[in-house]
Amino acid sequence: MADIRCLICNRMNDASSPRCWYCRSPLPGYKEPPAPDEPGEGEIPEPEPLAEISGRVEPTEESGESWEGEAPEWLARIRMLKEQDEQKTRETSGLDTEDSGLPEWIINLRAAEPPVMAEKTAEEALLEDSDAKATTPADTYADSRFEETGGRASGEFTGEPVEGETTSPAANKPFETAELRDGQPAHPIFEDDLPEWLSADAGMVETHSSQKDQTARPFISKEENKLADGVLPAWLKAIRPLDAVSPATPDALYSPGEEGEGILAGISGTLRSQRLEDREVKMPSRPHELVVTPMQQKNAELLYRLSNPDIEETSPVAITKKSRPQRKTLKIFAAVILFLAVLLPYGFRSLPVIIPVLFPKEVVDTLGVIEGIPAGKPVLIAAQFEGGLAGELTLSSEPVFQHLVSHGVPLALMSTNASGYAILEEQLRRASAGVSGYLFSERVVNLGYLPGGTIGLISLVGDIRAALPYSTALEPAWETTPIAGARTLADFAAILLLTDNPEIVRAWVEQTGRIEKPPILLGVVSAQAAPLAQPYYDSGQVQGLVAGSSGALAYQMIRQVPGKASTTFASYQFALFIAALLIFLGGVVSLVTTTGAAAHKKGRG
Amino acid sequence: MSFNTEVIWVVISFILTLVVFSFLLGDIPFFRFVSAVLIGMTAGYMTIVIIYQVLIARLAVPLLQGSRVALIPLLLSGMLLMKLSPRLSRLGNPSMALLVGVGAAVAVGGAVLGTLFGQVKGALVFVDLARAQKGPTSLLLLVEGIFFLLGTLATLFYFHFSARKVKGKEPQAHWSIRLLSSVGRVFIAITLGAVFAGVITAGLTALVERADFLLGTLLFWVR
Repeated sequence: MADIRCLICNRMNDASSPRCWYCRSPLPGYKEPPAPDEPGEGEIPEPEPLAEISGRVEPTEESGESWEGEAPEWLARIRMLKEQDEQKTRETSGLDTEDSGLPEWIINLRAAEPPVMAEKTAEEALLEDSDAKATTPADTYADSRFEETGGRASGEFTGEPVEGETTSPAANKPFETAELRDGQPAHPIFEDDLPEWLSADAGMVETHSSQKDQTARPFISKEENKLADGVLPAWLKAIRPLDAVSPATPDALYSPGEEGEGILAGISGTLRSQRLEDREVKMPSRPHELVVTPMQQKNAELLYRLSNPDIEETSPVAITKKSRPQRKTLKIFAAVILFLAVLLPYGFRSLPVIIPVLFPKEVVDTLGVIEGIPAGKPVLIAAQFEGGLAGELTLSSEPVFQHLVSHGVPLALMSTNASGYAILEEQLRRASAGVSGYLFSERVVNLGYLPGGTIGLISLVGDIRAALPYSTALEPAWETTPIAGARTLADFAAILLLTDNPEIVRAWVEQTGRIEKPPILLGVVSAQAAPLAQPYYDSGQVQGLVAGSSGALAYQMIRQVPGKASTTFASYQFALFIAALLIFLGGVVSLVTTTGAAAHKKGRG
Repeated sequence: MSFNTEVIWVVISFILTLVVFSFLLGDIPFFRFVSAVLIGMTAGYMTIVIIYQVLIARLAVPLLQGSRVALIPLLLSGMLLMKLSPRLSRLGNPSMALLVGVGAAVAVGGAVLGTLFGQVKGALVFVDLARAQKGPTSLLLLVEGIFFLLGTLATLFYFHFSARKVKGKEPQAHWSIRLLSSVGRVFIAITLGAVFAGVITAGLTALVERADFLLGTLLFWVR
């Protein structure tokens, strides 16, 4: 449907509208739809006022007279003054009105307008429009004038206030504020009905229709024509269909010239396809929410605090500023107590010590296996432990080493980690220092470090000579006296494991179980590995086990040979008792305070 | 000379032990110094061990002796080193695949044959009636065996998470499974408690050993 430009405000209106959408002025060329009982469209005479304001029809003198005759006296006076003004303006301005093609009165209006106003940008006009919300002050003013003139607004309307009427500065502005200046065709439906965020992109749709008006408004630059970007919330930006699908600017969609290549080569004005690599695809966000129960949350917090003891408290049970020094004091207090518990038995030999009278079966079995080792048959001692637990393993292994040395068993040492390799030989040297007649260099060979972890064990089980060919002195190990006769792992009387990790026990059990006649497997393990190594002893896969200081003490007591385990046992037992007491008291205090706090909270609630 | 060296090491050990205990006062510079010394020495020591025990003993010496088999680990090691370069890292994939594949096969095979079968067999030993009838405490052994079997089964049932769908209700396991699962929970708690006790015991033993060393050193100097 064709649009009609309002002669008053110069905005585009729908052809079917009788009046301007904005200024309520009658539109030129409007034809009333044919009534059922009236003649056809062509036969309807144009209403007189409309014919007068129409740009196409020159108002006749008669029509002007008849119009003037109907006007009230005050309006006639205004018109007379207006005519005088126009006459003066025409004389002084000397504007060439013939080239414009616009009615003379509009040219006069423009001439009367201050030049600054004419240069106002479209942005300012838009701001003014937005200030005035749906209707501009000029529109309001036009409405009021239209009503005052009895609905007979004419083309001679100048915007001058009526006598006695106060005018706001905005109302004093000429009518060509918004649309005449920005030159945009009016699309009331797009601008008013669409939401604000979408109206910015509606320009894309309007671009094509507005192109034909570009020539009529050369003074509006593209920059001015741009609407200011709105600040949208992130979620709205994400779901904006036009942005998400086509981030390109509307102008960029059109090819300015002819297509140079492809199937559309030589065709101009084609829609430009978007390059896939430039397309910004926003993936739909699918937020996943982890639903946990309060108990699970609490457990997770506890676990996190256990694994990160130094972190600050973040739970609702917040610790006050005092708590950190308190905690430190408590830590030092517990340490001092433990130190005292360890050192006290050295000063007070009369402190009661509970000596075990029943010896663990696994310790007895270990002793029995070592006792039964045939003379000259070597034992392989394999170690893997961390340096931190070397002290405990030194205590635990001492009686077993002493037993082996005193029995004159040839020994081959090896390790599956570097620290074990370093410490093991030293431990054995110390253990054998008190045994006379045992030549360390002749009875012991250090095979060194076996790399590869479990895979290394496989190679050891398969071919021990190839797996550990040299001693730590880089001499052919299998030519040395202690293990000269051994060819496979089965040639060893036993394998003694020295470890702080039950996984190492498992690995050895699994790999040595592959051979047809596996050697006897014994273990000297740390107390922390004992509970998980015990099942392998119970199942018969490990034939003997000495666990921790208590195991070593039992071994020494059976052999009735004193050692470090027996001299430090009093300290060990007393410290263990104090540690258990501290844990128990801590638990009780924690229980009482927690229960008290809960009861207090409940009472408050 | 030997005496002097030993004394020096004892003094160094004594001081370092005391400084390690200074962690009670917080992460102070002394403790950080000792940590740095420990890490540096470990790294240096590891390097020496690997050079002497691995590279020389297992690669260089066989190569110098004319072993062609030693070329295979040399080639695979060289390819593994390519992992350092982003451009050539793909060349290291065969070595990595060999390591992972062999490691997985060894672990799975060992676990099935060594641990699974071995532990099942070990659990059956406790309910071996022939073994129980031999001794005077046969009834006690039988009770012990049943207790072990119950503990094993209950622990296994604790890790049974399947549940039956009931219309209009939340899915729930059978009551017998839930009962066994609860019993298994008790056994697991006891096991974890034993492990925790073991960790404390190991720590205390290490403390006792260090205290014994400090006291012995002090007494030696006093005398």
